[in-house]
Amino acid sequence: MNTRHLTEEEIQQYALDNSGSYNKAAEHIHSCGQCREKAETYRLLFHGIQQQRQPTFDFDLTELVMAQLPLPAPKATKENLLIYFFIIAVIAVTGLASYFFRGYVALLFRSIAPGLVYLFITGFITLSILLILDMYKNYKKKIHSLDVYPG
Amino acid sequence: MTNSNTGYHEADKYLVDSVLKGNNAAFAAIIKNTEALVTQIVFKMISNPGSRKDLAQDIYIKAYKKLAGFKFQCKLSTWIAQIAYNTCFDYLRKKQLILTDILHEEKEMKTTSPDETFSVLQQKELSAILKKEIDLLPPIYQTLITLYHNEEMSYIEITEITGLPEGTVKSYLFRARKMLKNNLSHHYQKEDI
Repeated sequence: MNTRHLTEEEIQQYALDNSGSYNKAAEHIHSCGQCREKAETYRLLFHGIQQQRQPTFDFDLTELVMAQLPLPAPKATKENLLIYFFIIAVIAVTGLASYFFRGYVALLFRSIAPGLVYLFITGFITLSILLILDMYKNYKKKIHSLDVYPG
Repeated sequence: MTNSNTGYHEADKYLVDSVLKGNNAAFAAIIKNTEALVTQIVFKMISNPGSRKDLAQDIYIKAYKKLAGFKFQCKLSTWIAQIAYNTCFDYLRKKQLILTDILHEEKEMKTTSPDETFSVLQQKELSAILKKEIDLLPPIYQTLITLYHNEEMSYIEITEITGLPEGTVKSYLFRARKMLKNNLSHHYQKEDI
């Protein structure tokens, strides 16, 4: 039998070793009340540490951090590219048509009274502004509903 | 690499890739997954409750900014814990607060064996008194005790987080446990008198 008392380090190791495979220490502890008591003390201590309550913040950390993250840069999706292509195509076709048929267009406006032309242009611009404003309002509303973490 | 390692790597990779593609909601999931570990480190390293809030935010903002540089050499949670530890460490160093010096001297137990008094522990709100004694340990000792005993991390994982050599981790843990045991014994001895 090993009569030398175990060192503090050996006792800690023994107390940590749940499998009981730390044979050299186990043999001594089995026959030594003093070392056994120390080992039990450590086991009690380790159990006490494991029973400690997990600390928690008194605020929502996720919400706090997410509010500070930069918004992701919008990326050009396939759908967006199609829309841009369509807009460019419409502008190009309109421009080309206006250029090639400018004579006919001028003739068309000359045959209508100038007052009527101005009225038509004013009406067109007003309607366009109203439509654009409405589209912008809808766009802001949709973006707001998608923004899960408003800053 | 084990299957479980592959599993966490895949989950980590999915989340990291999602964040890098602009999905901020994936970062919220990362915070939720790692918050408990980060909270443990912040609470053990920083005693001032006012500073904890700023540091916790700082840790995750740093993680977000450095995410593209994460190479998956360890778990994502270990990497974030590393940022948490270093952020708290830098804070303590700037404030010139004591990191490992023994604030709370080990009490000499001469009258009776410290272990005799321990049998009383179970009946005397061990948990509350133990918490007080842990809080009196130097910040690094508290952190190591928590990572090893509460988070059940291996020495390797602890060295990854703290950057301390394995031998130093073992030595600090040994000293921390011994201090804790002796200080607790002293505490109970005084109460019994």
